[in-house]
Amino acid sequence: MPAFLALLSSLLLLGCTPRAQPLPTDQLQIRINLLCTTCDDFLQCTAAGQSPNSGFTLYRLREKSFFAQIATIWDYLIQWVHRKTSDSRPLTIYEEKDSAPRVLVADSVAKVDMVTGLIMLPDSTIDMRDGNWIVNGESAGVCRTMVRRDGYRWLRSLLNKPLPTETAQ
Amino acid sequence: MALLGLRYLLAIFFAGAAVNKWKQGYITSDYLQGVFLQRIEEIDPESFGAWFIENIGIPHYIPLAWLVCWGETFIAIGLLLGFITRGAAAGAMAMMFAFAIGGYYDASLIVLTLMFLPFVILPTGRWHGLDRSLHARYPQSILFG
Repeated sequence: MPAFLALLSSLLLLGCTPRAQPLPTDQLQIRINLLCTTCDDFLQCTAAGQSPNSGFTLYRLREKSFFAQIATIWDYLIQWVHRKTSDSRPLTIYEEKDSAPRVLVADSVAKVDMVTGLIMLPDSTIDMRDGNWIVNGESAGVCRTMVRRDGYRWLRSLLNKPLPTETAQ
Repeated sequence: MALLGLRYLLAIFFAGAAVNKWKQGYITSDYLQGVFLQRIEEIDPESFGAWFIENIGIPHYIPLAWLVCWGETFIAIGLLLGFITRGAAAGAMAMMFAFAIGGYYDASLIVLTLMFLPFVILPTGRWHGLDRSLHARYPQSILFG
């Protein structure tokens, strides 16, 4: 009973503590679900004045580990008293130049902050509000969310692993 | 009592899933192949799930459709009637695990799988179900334990 009361009071305290609120998702051009640990998010960034056809950098915020997924169950349960506002996700960076895809960084970390609306990457920052791609403190281009299915399709082209429907044709 | 309520709830859940599959003609059509072809576009091509769907799921969708359809039906009947209840619950856990590694992994599957664990551990079929009379008749059998 004392342990239960202690847990209850600490949860209430957590709920009462004023915390910075995350930006409303309808104000974001790039939306990342912090509670989806099995999600793969593909962010396609194109340099200013260029089209994605001429080349782009692809940031892939990969799904989290098995144990991190277990932890999400807790995040779900307490979200009414303690809302998650930031997260770290495993990251892989790809690049496509002259229609040649390649891996730039195989394993790194992306930090998503829903309060500031920024995704901190090892080489740049993405502003989720307008998709602005910031490199060395200056706007370098624009990023957009790539549909997951298209992201995997692109990945298959990199891995030279066509879909079964494509090999049958 | 609450545990028995949960058992019937899970039985209804499985019965609903089984009825849906029978209605969709799972074992008499290429429906499951279509499901796999759609799913493979939605998952990481480097994952085990993608490998499984591509090399086992799509080429062998007919036996898998039989397994899923009849498996869900037997699990629903087992949990509902308290017949080979522990076996039915273990089957449900195995099926959830197979779904997870077969390209349908989701964190909620962990919780769902664990919900069947009490029915593997405890003899709920003997509390309420056919296992009670069958265990009295065949006390040595592990099926009705």
